[in-house]
Amino acid sequence: MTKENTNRSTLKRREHWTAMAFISFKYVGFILFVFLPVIVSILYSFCNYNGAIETEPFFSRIGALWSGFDCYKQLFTVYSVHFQRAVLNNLIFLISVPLGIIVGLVIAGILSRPFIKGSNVFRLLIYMPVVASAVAMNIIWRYIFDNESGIINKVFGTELMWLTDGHLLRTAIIVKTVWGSIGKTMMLLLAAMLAIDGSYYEAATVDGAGEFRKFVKITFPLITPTVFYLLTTGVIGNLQMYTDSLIFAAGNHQARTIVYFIWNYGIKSSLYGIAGAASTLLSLAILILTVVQFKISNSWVYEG
Amino acid sequence: MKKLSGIFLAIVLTLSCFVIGAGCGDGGYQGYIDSEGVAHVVFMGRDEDNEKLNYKRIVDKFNASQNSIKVKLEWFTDSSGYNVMLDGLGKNLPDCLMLSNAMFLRYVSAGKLYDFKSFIIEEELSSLYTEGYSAYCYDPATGKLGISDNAGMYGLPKDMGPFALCYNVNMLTDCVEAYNKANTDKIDLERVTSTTNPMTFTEFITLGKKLKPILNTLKNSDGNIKYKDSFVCSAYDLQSAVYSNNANFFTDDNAEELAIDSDNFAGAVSFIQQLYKEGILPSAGKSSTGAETLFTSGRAMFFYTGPWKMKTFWESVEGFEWDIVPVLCGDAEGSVSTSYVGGMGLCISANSTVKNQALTFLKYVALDVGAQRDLYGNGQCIPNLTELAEEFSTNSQNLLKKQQPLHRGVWVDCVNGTSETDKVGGKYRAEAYTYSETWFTDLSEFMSGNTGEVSSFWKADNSGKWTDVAAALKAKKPDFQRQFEAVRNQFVNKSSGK
Repeated sequence: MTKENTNRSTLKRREHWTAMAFISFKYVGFILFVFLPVIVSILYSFCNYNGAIETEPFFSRIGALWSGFDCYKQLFTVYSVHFQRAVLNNLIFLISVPLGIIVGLVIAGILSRPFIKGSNVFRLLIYMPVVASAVAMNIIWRYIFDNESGIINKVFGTELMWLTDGHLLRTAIIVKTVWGSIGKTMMLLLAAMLAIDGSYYEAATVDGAGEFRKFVKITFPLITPTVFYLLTTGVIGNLQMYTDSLIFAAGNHQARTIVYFIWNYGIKSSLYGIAGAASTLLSLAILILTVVQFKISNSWVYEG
Repeated sequence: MKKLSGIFLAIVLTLSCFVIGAGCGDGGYQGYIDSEGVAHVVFMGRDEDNEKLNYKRIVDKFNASQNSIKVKLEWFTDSSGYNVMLDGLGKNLPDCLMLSNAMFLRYVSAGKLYDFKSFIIEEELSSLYTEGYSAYCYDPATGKLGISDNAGMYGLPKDMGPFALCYNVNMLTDCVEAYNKANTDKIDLERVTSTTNPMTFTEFITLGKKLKPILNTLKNSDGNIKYKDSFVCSAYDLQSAVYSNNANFFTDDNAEELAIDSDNFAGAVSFIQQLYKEGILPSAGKSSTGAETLFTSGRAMFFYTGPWKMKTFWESVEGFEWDIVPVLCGDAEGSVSTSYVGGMGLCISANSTVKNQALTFLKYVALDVGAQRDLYGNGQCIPNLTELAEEFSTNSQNLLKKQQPLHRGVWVDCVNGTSETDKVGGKYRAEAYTYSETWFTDLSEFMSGNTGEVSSFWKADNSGKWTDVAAALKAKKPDFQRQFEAVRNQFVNKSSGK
């Protein structure tokens, strides 16, 4: 090996270690806060582990605590009413994902027009909810939907029980969630739209295509990768909704989600087995939905 | 390169294990004895910042009076976070900690708490109200709470509650005077404000029906409505209504079977429903102003409150006088005005290495005359010590920052279990007899109509029909019982610490 080759090899190794050092923090974080909790949560789900009364570490008593699928069974027997309602609520709230994308798409479409003045200001204003605290937003929306003195009831002169009637409460949460998501959807869709090569539109214009046809035949197909990304991450995030149930709905049963169920009947009651079982099922549901979305994406997402 | 990646992975895993190992340490919540022989005790509590200041003062005084013990206060304002954190600590609980009645049973049954019965002398015990400490006595053999020969002592009262009915003196007097002027069937104000012979449910509803029309029409000398948008009562405590109607949440204090389908229980719930029907309480779900705020802002004639709220009321009530009477007595046979007693206990970790020093501090907080005077003087609680009852009621030591409520002795009567006429008493809150309070939250949610299974008990449905309380509770009981038992089974005989 020549001296030059040795130096190059040493340099490469040094670069490698430097890179590794930088990303190691991310890996340690992932192992500590994602990977290990997932494993422990799955183990909890097969054990009758009660955080409040156990005095020995979980792993030292795992054999004695093992209860097979008992916690899963309880979700569909003892807790069936609460768990099924939480699942149903989560499914209902999923509607806010496509709604958020559609509204974001419309706004992005408008803002991408060259004749819109002050487009940057609009973008900033619409994006602001994304960076605002979820807790603060929930509190403000509670004021907006308040049964007695809420802005909505005052403006429209109605007496709708937004925060207590189940249907209205869920509707309010969907409205709120859509509002909260359009900043992100608009920004990403707008970026995708602006990245489309202008020559496609010029050719379409020459061929006599109208605006709608251009959108359907050029814009939408070319932004489908972004739509797919928003759909996938939106579904994952939506299935993990929690603050809406806790703060906006103040724990009302008719707006409780699966994560709220995990907190209320599992962690808060020290029944980690129940919490683990519900968490594992939720993770599985998210995994399956994501895989299905990827499979279906082959038929509608443009891959260049 | 593969070799390098392997090394990298090994380093990352080692680092992760190191962090986990550090995290699994004692977390700094357990005391120790240092090289100079000074015992460092960790005292952990939770509640509003107001309380924190009171306890910080107590800790500072204790530390100043001791050379060999130093107490460190750890405080949490978020109750849920505090509870979950304690669960997460496993057996490594802080040396001295506050535990709510709702959590005590699960911790004591798991062997996590220290039995200091043999270190409490009879004289100390007799200085306390029996109702103040009986819920911290526990017999591990039978798994039952309460005083018995074999029961150990695992806690001393931090406070004892209890609730009483508070009222706006000016508003009540004005309305009663106005009513009596215009009507022949006079309202007996002395009867309404009796501290020894409380009104019954029926009497209160009659009173509310009479005063409601007056309340929002009574005018000032300038012709304006004096008590605009006000209510006769802003809220009523369910537990007090149940206990005061000779009913219970369980068939007995073993708390194995729910008794929410009993006639007396349904009667108590129906009473609260009647308050809504008559418009004595604000319409359910309509008012965005909290019940307490309605009272403290002078928009409610009656509400309920406990002694721990004294300081808050002193700071927030302006422009009117307020006082207390015992909670209402039910209409069912054998009923006695019974409000819930208890709140939090002061306990010691069974795993503490400084148990004796922790007990010294715990006795100081719960049994020392000076500390108790400091706490009641700051509107924190009623004194634990029977010998201070009289001075608290009369404020003979002039320690209370404000005089209200004038008849604060009512709170003492509730804990004492009796008044001069044996018509006032107290009972531990229902959650104290169970391992988890989720069942109670669910029951309240069910009655509020938030589960969607029935319309709210507290308001008519769209067709104007009110829920049949007794039928709904009977129909729902099996579901509640099933869930209640499932949770209970998760706690009973599952402890590894016994």
